[in-house]
Amino acid sequence: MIQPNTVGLDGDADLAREVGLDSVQVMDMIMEIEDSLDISVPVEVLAQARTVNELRDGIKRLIGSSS
Amino acid sequence: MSLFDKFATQRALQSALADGGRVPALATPMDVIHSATSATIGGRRMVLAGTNNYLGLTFDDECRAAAIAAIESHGTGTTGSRMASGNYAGHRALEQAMADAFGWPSAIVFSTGYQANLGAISALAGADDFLMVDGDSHASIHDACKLSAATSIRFRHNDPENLDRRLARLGEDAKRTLVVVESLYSTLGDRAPLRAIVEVTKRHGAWLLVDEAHSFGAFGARGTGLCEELGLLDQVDFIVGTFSKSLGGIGGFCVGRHADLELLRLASRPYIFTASPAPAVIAATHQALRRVLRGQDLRERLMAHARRFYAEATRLGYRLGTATPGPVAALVFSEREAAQALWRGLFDAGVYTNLMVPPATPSGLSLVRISLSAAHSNDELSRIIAALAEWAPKLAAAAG
Repeated sequence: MIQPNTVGLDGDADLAREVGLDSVQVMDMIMEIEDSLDISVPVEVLAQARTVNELRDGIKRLIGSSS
Repeated sequence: MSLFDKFATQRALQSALADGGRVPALATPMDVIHSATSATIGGRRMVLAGTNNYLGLTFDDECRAAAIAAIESHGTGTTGSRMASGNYAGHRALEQAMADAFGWPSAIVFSTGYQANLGAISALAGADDFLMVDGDSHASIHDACKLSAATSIRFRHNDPENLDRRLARLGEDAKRTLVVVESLYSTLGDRAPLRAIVEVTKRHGAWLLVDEAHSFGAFGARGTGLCEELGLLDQVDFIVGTFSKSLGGIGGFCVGRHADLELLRLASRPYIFTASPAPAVIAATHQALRRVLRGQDLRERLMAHARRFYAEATRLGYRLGTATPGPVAALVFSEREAAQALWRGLFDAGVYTNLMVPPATPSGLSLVRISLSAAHSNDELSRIIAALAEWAPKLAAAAG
């Protein structure tokens, strides 16, 4: 799913422009993360996450609020 | 800096789909419509196999007569919302007929099918509620999630176990959750495992809305859809549908097993803040509904076509979106170019279909989507299959 030559991108990499994911691919990736961590990520959290770091922070907040 | 900079993806797709000035695959210009299954496109008479006109009622004599009579008696439009001057007797009668068709206490008519999902879902689930929607849902469902103040969560497509886990995580909040699925998915033509989804939803005390846009008219003894066919109408809470497929018009509806659905008329913004459907549309749709309810002949013909098409396409080596025959047949490709070549080949052979490409498709697939109609003659279906047969070896050779 991740496009070639993206290894080494930092956390500020834009999921669409730099990692090369379209909206459907981002959703697929999130579902993998949800199953791995046994959490549900609301769509509204995804809408606010444009970079890898923003996505990580959103998920961290979710896990924090449910613990 | 331009407002249009953000459309780089659309610009690239537009360029990729441009075909040297030939008739375009997207937004194909229809020049003259001759019947439910025939039109002139690019100066040639074509067989229509990409219209969602599953029962062929757009040219039904009684439906057309009802529309003409309504224009003569009520004029061309209502110029008002249902909450103002657009609440005609015809709208109310159609709602009563739709509710009666399901044996439920309430039905609300919306101006489009898109607005039916937008208006019903966004109003049913508000702040402090949850929406749990299938990941491959139609854009109207995803947009309803955006409009709603509820927290929206997606579950894996057609995966009741995944839905079960997500509802379990919500605990008591599952009782404030509206689960939304489509009975028959419009891109791949696959059906939801409705029995399992009903079981999971009810076990958690959640609510269930089923979108029957592509199955209303085509399934069930009375033609109201797959929930009827599967005997699930006493367990589903709401059903949304459209007038623009089997019913041959434009508009949408939400029917409810709960009389309180009526309260949405005072809360649903896509219902309140738009003009009501034109009298001609309402009259034609009401007549089409009568035909659907006694339309077992049309359903049998449609499904006979579906079984024949699925068998032939499979024999020719095409990969279909589902193995279960139905009114939607999606020929699936991993490469856009292959789908584009087949679409063009079928078009050149006189058959109009739908080309669907990412990101409007699931799993990055490209599709040539064919919709079958009870109005197709056996000869027209033979022509569609013959065109596919001509292209099968070319596609196989190109794939290496």
